[in-house]
Amino acid sequence: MEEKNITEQESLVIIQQMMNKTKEQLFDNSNLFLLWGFAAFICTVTQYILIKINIQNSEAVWIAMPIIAVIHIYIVIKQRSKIKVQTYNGNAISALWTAIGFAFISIVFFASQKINILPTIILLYAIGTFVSGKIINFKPLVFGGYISFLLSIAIAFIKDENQLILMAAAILISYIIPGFLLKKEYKNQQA
Amino acid sequence: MKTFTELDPILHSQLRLAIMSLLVGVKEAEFKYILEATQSTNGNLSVQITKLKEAEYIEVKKAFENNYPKTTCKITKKGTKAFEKYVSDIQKYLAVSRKS
Repeated sequence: MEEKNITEQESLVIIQQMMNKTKEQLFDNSNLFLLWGFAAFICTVTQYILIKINIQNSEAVWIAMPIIAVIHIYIVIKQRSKIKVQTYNGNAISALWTAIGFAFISIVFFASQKINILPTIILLYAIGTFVSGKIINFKPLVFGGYISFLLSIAIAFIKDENQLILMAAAILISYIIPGFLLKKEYKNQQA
Repeated sequence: MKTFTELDPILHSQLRLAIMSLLVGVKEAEFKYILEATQSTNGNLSVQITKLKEAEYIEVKKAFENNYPKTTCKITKKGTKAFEKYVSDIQKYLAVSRKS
């Protein structure tokens, strides 16, 4: 492209071409979905096993989460230098997950009051994945969101440690599977 | 019938229009991104970005990251208004030329 005069028709073609380039710009945040997905999945399954073999204070496995937060910050800083364009969609998704992150921190304090926080956590997963999926128009995330909404209702009918199985399912469907699909989609877009 | 002269001369140029069309859809973009998207040359893109900056249609931030210069461009409110007016002018023009 160079500096030259154009006709009105050519103008419209340029505007359309350039806007299409930014419209489908997918920000590769699949690594973050996979990081939190796997971390939460492993913690959930480990806690379930610990309860089954009668080990006390099984909830201690969640101490791993602040470590994951540190890895998260490291990934974000490393990715920042690679990001050449900041889209409004990317910003909206960051804001959404920051808010959900704050909500998770707040919920941890309820856990210390012996309040069951699992339904709320699944509900937050559902909101995060559903809205992210809608923003970037990525169906696996939207689908994961719907399933997590259903699981957050189903959990009311399930007792004790079996709730952890639903939690693991929610993580698998709303984080891990869409995370892998998102990664694949991003690679296809780059190719 | 409307003529070319009524269109904003700053925007009615291939590369400057491409830069503005890119920036209107994003929060901000790096020079390298604009370079790849418009398939322009370094020198030419710099000149056109400077013209848009002088017209106050875009903001240009220069920074250093890992010892490399990093130039980021962002559309201004004035730029967005000018772009919207340009698009609507073009639509009017095309509507008139279709009728005639």
